[in-house]
Amino acid sequence: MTKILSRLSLHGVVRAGGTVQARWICNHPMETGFRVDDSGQKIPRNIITQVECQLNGEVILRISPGTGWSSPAYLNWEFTVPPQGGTLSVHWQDDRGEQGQVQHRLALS
Amino acid sequence: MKRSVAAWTRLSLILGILLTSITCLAQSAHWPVIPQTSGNAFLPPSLKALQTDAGSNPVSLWLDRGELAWRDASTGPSCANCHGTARSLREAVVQHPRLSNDGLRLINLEDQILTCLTRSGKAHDTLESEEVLALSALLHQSAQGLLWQLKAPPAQQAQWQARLVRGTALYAQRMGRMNLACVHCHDQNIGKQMRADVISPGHPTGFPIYRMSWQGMGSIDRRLRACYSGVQAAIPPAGDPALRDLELFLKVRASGMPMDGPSIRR
Repeated sequence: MTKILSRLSLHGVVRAGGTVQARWICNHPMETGFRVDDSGQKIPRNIITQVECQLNGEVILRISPGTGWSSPAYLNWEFTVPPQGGTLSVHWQDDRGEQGQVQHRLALS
Repeated sequence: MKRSVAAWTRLSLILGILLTSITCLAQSAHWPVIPQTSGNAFLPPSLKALQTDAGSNPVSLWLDRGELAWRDASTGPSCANCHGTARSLREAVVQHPRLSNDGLRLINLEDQILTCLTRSGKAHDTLESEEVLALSALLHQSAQGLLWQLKAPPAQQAQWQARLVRGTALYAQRMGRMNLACVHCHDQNIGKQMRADVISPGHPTGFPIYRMSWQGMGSIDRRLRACYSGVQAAIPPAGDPALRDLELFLKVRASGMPMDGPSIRR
């Protein structure tokens, strides 16, 4: 069984009120469901169906990816750093019902 | 008549030399043509940027996976139970492939990892399974910067030398429908463009590799099998002794170069 891991990192200077880029990468197989295996059997679809990003508990981004996403799945977005800092977290879920979460603390500089 | 032929030959020779030197100059402006250059120097700028950014580099996920596997004691003793830290094995990384105690087999790092995993109850793993590759990536990362210095073990001089000779012969052996040997690309045409790719000197210093076209991590074993496929030769099975002989030769050929794996390839 593949262990699905993901990473969340921040790029830019984390300053209150400033903008930073978050990058999220996940080694999900992103199986499209269009492929067949060596014996001609269809490989069932297994892609990430939902990615949700929360900043201090508030949803700032929700995405339902399609089969066009690469493996490893990759996403980046920009957001405004709240004055008190806080925590950025990403939660994902796939077709098989597997899910995972990563978080990153915003250390103000 | 004879004189004009001779003059024509001389003229075309001079033209040929001129053209070759111009092409060489044009190439050296873009790509390194020094034989002792790691494959990392031949990456396009976009992949070089990806390589240095742990936040989007897929290799970093494999290293995370390797860290988990290193401490995984679910079926038996974990790697950490016997070896402590991955860093404690860094010297061993650049000493593979090595001869088995009976001197009959060359064992590379992935072979050794597989043996260890089987011993600790993970018999379902194969040479290209994710756990083996993740551990290989972790160990190679811990050995970054060490120099490749493969030497014959004093007690097994003759056997080691014999394997090296076989690897060297294989490197120069034409094969496949392309009728090419390794030497034709990786010694004689370094830095030249081959379709969308640039030919590197073929040093195995950056393995294991995350290859974009594989969408996954691969060992040197897999890369060499892909070379057989590239020249349209019969592809040996994974773990074939011929692949180990070739790996030994390539690593001896890279002597003095730093270990810079795991890395990204096109």
